[in-house]
Amino acid sequence: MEYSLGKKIAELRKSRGMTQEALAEKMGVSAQAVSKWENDLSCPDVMSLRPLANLFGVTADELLAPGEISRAEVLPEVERKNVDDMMLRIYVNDNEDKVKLNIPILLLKAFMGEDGKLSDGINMKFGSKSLNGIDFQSIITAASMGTVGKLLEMESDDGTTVDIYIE
Amino acid sequence: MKIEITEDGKMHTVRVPITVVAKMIKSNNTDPQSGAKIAKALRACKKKYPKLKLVEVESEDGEKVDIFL
Repeated sequence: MEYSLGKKIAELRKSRGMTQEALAEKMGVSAQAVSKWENDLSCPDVMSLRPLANLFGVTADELLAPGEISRAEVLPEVERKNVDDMMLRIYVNDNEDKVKLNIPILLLKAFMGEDGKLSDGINMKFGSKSLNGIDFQSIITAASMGTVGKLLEMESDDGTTVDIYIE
Repeated sequence: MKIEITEDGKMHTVRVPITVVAKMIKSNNTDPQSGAKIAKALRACKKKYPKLKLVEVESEDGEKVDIFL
């Protein structure tokens, strides 16, 4: 998937729980300027790229490269959101269907049984792909420790891909 | 909850009250305690994210299913 600079800025900002206004303030520009960056109507100037990348904990190269920034990171405590305000995003793409799930961690926690596995009756199955084998308890733990970004990327023999993000 | 099914360019909408969904989860779950826990979390999420799109499915044949909280 082609990721524009604007889309990357928007995703990185959201994953850190920042508003456009907050990013604008840190970068010393207006919120309108940030909005234009994110909608690919303009670009940050060259001198802003490194501070912007540093702010998000990525490199300027990663910001400018066409692909997605695909790594998870642990945010410092001051930047972390409450785990119950975080969202798990799951993208399943098999040859027939594209499925996107947005599951609040708050809801995911309720799905978990005392044994740390999904409760009986919760079946996350899409086409031939079952997600029940995923260690969701570890994902919740990772989220509560401030992990954000792409946690997991799987590709089956049949070409089905599953990507999991915490935001 | 709201379910939107788009098929052959036509959209069909089904609305299911969150209380009904919660009751269904409680009755379908083998462990009544976890059923109650899910129902409570669903209500809390509905308050927090009133228009959250929980599930979005796009089929190759153009059919689309969106499930909103």
